[in-house]
Amino acid sequence: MTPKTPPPVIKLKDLHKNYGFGDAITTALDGMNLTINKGEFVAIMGPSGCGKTTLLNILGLLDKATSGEYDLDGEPVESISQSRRAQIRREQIGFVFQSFNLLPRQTVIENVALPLIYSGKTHTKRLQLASKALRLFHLQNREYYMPHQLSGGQMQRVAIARALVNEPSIILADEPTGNLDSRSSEIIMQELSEIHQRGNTIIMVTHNSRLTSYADRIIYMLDGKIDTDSKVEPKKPDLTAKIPLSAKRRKVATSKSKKKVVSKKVAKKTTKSKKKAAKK
Amino acid sequence: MIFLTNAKIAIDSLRSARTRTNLTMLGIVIGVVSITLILSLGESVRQSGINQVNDLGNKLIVIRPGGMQSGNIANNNLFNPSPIAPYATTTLQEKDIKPIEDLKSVRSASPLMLINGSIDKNQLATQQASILATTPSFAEALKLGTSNGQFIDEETNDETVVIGQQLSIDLYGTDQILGKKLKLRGVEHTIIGVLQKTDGPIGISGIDLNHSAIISLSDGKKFNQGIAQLQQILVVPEKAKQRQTAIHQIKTTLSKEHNGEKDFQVITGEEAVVVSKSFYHFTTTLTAIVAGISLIVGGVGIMNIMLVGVAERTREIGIRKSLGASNRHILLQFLIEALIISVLGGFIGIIIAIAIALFIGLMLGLTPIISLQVMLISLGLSVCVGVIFGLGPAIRAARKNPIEALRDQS
Repeated sequence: MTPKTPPPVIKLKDLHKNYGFGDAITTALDGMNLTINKGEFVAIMGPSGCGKTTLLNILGLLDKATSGEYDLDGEPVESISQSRRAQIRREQIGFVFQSFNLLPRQTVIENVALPLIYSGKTHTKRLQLASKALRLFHLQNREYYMPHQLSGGQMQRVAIARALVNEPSIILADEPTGNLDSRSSEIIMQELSEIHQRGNTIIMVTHNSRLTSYADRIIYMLDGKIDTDSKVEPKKPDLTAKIPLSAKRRKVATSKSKKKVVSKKVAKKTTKSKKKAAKK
Repeated sequence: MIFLTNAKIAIDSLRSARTRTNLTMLGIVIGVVSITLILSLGESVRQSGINQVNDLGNKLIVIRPGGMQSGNIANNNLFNPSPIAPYATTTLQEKDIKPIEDLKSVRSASPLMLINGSIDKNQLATQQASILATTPSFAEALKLGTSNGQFIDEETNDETVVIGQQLSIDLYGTDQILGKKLKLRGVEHTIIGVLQKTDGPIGISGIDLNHSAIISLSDGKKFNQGIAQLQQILVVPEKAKQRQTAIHQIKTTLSKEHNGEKDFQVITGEEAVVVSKSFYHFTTTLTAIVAGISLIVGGVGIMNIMLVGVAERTREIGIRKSLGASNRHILLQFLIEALIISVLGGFIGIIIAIAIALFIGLMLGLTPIISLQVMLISLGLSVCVGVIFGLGPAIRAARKNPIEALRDQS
């Protein structure tokens, strides 16, 4: 009996992408062949200008390839209409950007509810779903904050909540930790890892090799082609870091003498959740 | 659903740039105010003429000097103006009245002689007003009543005068002024009556009776070396049904009197107001078009602001598109924004126009008519302006390439 392989979500065949005309043609993707199966956590690495972001944009249907084939969930998407592309974007794909891309004039919950507007959900339903997504990221008490009132890490968690709110099958993350300090980066990576464990396919572009440890497949790109493609054993998320900082501070501030007890409690909690995660 | 959500997005974004939104809206408000105002005041002026025609016009015959064809009165007056024509000696004379009155089909014929000159209460209060010389039947023909005193009649002396209500109020502040003395072109007259308020300035007589002083024809002739220069003869036919017969007979009689020269025109009461009616219609249309231009200027303002908005929010467009907004969603969002500005501007404009129309109405003694039709026209125009000028920027927004839009740093 052969092990059951999940169906491919993304299948690229001889994909090319050129920019410019005539003598000034720049090749961003030069014959990409790639199959990504459902539930994979793929980290794409490579030097600047190797075509990582172009690949991600094409995968996310924001851009079109010059030639080649791209099947998404078995459907060829190269020749479909603009509105169908938009529909796929809102139903099957969630984007996480380096610069968060939250709308500055809308509250956190409105930002998270944004993709639901276009899928025709009612106002109440939108807020309910957005609130649920925010709760997953421990941001339920920041729902009515404006983005500028949040830290970088919190903003990125809001952005991830937004990407997940429509329950897409693929999450595309373009250097999600590029603008964050190492501690916040760690938290974000753990969030992504958790999402992955729930069965989502994640494709992440990064420069930071340390972050690839969460992925189960690492693709190294060079000059618009895949240089190396290796499967690895992903690191299990350590959930200690996920306790909201503010909650920790509060506990510390209430009583210094209780410090030890608190840390024990935290430790207990984490071991519990570790066990849970392991069971899963 | 998506419409309501987009309306909310649009309101939010308009609110966040409040000053800019208000200034853009101001352009539309001004345009709508001018259009509504012109249409409603034009309508009320026209209506006051119609009222008079309905009351009297269909019973009266008007004889005027000059040989113009009745069908073309309006066009001739508007497009072939003869600036010195008003100074020509009129071709209607006192001797024309008698043969008309003698016709069987005619009940009465009242001459109308206009005398230009000042009316003095004393050295201090002088008014420029029209002095009208006529016969007692004039009051009967136009169904004029007096609020005080009496109209001139066969027994009243010369040097007596009946004045219009507004003139009385302008000069004395009241219409209880019987027996007071007035100087008409330097000759002292005693006031024996004050007319009731009549409709606005356009009527069959062609004169604003509220602002005029009426004297007897014999008195009027004294100002003109004893000769009556008639601007008009108002004829009341014996029976309304006989009007056409009467007109025909008057034409024949007058032709004979004038040795076959067609230097007069006999027209019906309705035709007499056509000149003023079509003139008002013409000016109303013309000014409404000019006001329409101001609405277009408002529209250009909307377009300008929307283009700035699209440029400023390029990144937002990119984000929305990456989250699944289609071109149609983005188009709708920006179009609704333009529509909100224009519809809101339209509503505010109509409200302001009603207020101004009421105020102007009070000042000019008109009853402003702001019909539902006028309001719908104004609102419809502002919606059209919103769509026409909002569409360009909205299309531009919708067509933005999501990747380039996301890269936008502004």
